[in-house]
Amino acid sequence: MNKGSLQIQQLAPERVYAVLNSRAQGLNTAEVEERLLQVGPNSLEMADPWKLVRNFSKQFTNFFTILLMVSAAICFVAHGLNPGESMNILGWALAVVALLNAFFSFIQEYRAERAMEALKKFLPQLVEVERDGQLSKIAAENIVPGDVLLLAEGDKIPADARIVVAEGLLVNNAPLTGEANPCSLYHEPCAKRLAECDNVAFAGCSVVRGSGRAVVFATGLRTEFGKVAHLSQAITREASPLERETAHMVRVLTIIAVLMGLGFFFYGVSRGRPLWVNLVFMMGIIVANVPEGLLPTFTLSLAMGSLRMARKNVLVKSLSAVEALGAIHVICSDKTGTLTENLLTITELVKPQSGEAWGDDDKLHLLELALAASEVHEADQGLSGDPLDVAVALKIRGLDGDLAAAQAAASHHFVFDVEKRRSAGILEKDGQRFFVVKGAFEAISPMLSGITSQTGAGAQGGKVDRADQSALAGAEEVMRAMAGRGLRVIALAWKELAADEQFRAGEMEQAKFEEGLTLACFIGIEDPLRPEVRGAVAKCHKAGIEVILITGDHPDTALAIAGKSGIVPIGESEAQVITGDVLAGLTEAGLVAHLEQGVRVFARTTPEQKMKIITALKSMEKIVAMTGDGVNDAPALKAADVGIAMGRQGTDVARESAQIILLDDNFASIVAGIEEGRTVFDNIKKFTNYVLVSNGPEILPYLLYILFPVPLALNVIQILSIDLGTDIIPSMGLGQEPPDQETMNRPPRAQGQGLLTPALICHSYLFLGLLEGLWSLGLFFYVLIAGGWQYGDELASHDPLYRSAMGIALATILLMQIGNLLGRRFARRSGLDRGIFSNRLLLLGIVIQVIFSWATLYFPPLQRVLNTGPVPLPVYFLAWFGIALIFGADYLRKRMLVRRESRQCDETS
Amino acid sequence: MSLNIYLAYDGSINADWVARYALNMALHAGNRQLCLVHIEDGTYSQESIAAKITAVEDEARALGVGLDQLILPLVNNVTSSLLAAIPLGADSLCVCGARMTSRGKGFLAGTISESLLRRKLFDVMAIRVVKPGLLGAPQDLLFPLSGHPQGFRAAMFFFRLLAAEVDCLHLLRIMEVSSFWFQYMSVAKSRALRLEGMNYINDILADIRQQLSDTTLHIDGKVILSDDWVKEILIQASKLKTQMIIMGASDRNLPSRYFYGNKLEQILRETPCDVGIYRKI
Repeated sequence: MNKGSLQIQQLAPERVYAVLNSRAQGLNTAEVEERLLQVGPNSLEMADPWKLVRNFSKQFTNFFTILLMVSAAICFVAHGLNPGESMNILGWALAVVALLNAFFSFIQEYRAERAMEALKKFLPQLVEVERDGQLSKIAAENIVPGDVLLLAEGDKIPADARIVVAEGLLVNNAPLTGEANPCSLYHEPCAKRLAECDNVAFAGCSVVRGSGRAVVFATGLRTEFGKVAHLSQAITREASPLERETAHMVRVLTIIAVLMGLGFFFYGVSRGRPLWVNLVFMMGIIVANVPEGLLPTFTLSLAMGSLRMARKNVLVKSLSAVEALGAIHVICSDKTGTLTENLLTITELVKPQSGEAWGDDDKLHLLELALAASEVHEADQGLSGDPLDVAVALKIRGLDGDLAAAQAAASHHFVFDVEKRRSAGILEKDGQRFFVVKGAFEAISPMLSGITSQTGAGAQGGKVDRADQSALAGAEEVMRAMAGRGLRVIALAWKELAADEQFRAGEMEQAKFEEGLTLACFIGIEDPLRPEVRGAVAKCHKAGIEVILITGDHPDTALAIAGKSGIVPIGESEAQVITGDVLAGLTEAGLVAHLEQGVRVFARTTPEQKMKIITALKSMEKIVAMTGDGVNDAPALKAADVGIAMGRQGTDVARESAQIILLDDNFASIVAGIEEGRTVFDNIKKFTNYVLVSNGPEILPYLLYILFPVPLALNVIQILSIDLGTDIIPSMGLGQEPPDQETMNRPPRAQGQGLLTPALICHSYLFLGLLEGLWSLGLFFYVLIAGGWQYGDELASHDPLYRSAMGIALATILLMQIGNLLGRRFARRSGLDRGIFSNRLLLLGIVIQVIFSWATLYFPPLQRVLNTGPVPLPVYFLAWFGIALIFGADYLRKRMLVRRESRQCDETS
Repeated sequence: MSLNIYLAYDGSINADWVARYALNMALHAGNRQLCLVHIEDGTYSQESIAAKITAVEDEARALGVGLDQLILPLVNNVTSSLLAAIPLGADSLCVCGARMTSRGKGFLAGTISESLLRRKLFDVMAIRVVKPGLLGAPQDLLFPLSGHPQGFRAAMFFFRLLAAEVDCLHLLRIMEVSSFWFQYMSVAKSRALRLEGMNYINDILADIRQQLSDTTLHIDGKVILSDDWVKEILIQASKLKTQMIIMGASDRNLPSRYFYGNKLEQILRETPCDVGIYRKI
């Protein structure tokens, strides 16, 4: 298509002022005011005074909170109708629980805003501009398109601006691109896309060296940095699998509770019972149906899981991530520092044609040349500089070379240029001067005229072959073979400068020397794989979790590391690698097709392409964990189901955007976290089952009460004493159960596999719940009948006989929950085989149940609160029999299941 | 059919920036002609308007676009003066700024542009420029699609006018779900909605590919489930680094109605890139 129109980066500097309706002297006050009105202030945040209120109100839209609020309202109404029952206390209790729930959720969301605070630190407070021909320092927020910025060393850049004058301008674009090396900026037109141009200074970046003038063309959220900030703020993490499943469970239980409550309310009304009695009754049904303690126990269980994860170097910032980590299907991992040690070591120095290693003397000479194109300084903690440059210096030391002398011999250094992918320098030795270039082979090969073929390099002399096509192809083959072994490969080329070649450092042009070079060697640098990574990847595969490697490295290096770590089989073809260039041209559907075909390695990618990979994986209904450390990783970390930031290498922005921080940056720690996350979910299932069992004996008395002329065996306070009292510690005990051996041998659970399954409902309500209900009601009626009660008799609520009967019903439920608790430890095994003493919290839960069951009957202060009374000891012992009854019945069921499963297994085999 | 492009020019800085869009559209419209219409409402002095129009003329000349000028006195109000100047019908396209006079009342609500969009007398594109450095030549476009049975047909007309500079076209279909149900939606339901959206997008993609001869253009379609389509459009614009969002206006989402008005306004206010709101008659 015709590209007739130009963008700002494609214009000559002198035209930039005009097209931005500005001039070299800058804007005048009226122009600034008009533009400020038009595009707004140069700020990363949109003023939204109602945001906090809106976010807080949103917390009241979930089913559970609505249910609690409605229940509280009913309590207040009931209290108004009949003040004697103290229903207002229950009302306040429910309202406070609802408020606390909403408040904690709000605080969690509010904390996410901190990523924005970390981003703001990259922007300056004041900037120097020229307006109306005057230089002045103004607040960065007042910058508008058309403003003329003056850039100097150390300045943070406030907005996206087109460079019109550049004098040795070098900027650090790391916040935006993740590239650690600074980039040179120029004022000449650039044909590339706006975001890739070297004549644009981007907001959030900083000037490392030099000075310049630039005209602003985008401010605030319209800058490239603003887009990162906008995404970091606007992307809200999708609900975690557990949150979705919990929401589903709460919805089902709420609907059941409300329908039952309303049904029996209208039934009571039709039977002519007083309104307040029906209201209280409805409340009772709802309270009995809703496991009030379950959600707080979820939170406690996740909190304990997060503590266990912290011991494994996995710091969890958001509790939902604890379980989400256990549910993931795919881990997208960085290479450097996560799979590898991030300790660059030069392991090979080879001849470019044959690939043979150079001798030690030659190595030292070559390394001295390489050092001239490096920038290393002595610091308190040792050598500092680019890790590659430091590796060169360390290797010189390792070969007993004189590092200080080698550094002194380097007379000039040209910094690494990200665009050119090379650095350069001049070495003066023995009266000779050498121009040296070190960088990617692809970047250096066009400058080559010769390739060293024998021993000796540079001053030592040696045979040099012409760098014709076949020689270059041979060299490339050597380079690729090294990359295929997982090495990062750097080419080193040089040329001797003529004695009369004059230069002054300030005016030297690197390009002038970059021709007629001789390729001296390839330097192979290894970043060793962490020893535990291979095992961790294998564990992931066994657990049905895919691992995807996303790196900025060469495809061969990426493939080699992926092979070594077990992400792909060793020797996997290059077709299984997608490079950043290919990725940029793929549609989402195209990328999905590649992922489905088994592509697991992405090389030469940019951090922002991570987002594209996440989106594709999520469209495949995968739950994705993503690692990241840079500022521009923040959106991807938020978009992933589980964002994992690096604790050591990570920036503040990445850490604030992630849900999990890896304290040791180690991939193996993620896998340990996954095992913990899966265990947490298994345990949540166990205690959900446990808690729902007690709903059976809580509901049954209400059904009997409404259908038959019998007293109510449990009141609302007694139900709450179970749900919000005695069930909590045992549930937490189940939440502490250690992982099963099988935890990492099964695939991740499918999305949509609910916590509340029909099997779980049947087991909880219709089997164990019914059993608990029948035994507790049996003892309730036994006490009543033994005390002289007859069918149809009405009893006053404070009648001692009624209180004793209610006491034994409650005590029986409490004791039978012990049998239920032990059975819940395993799906197929008895639960005793692991030993009660192995889980202290579980033991504490049992002790609490026992003490509370005794106190319910025999401790007067508790009797008063719960409206219970004592029973003869033999009756209390009958309640104890309930433990064996429920445990035995459940164990019998398990045995039958095991037998049936083994029979089925035999039949199929 | 020959298309006549009119630039409703009020002399503001936004109008200068919008002028570049109008010039680029004229460049690719066939007759390479643009008519600048200015109504003398007294907001800016005649000298300043004359100087600015001269600058637009220079740019038009540099691009090879002929520029006609209609500088007219105010009759009743700016809208009626513009309506009197621009021939009615599908042969006319009026390019205007999303905010011309209505300071403090939003970017579209109560503006002349809104009035022109609402009247449906000729094709209209109202543009808000926040990144003047693009010089009216965006390379990545984002078209949010509302699920209209006509698909991309109306949008295609406007896309063709900008297509010459475009490298990448992103189509976005947002399947909106109410906030309350969104959090409880089952996997099966969301899968079904996504499929429905994807089918819609695929039909449109096939249609576009059939109509466009350019095979180098990167076209991608995306379906998103959301309870807040405005927020999702803004997120996608940042995520895809699009340089312009182009949206169709209907009576339903034009700010003429109180309840719907704030949605377009929100996009115009918070946009990370330039925005074009179009209406084809």
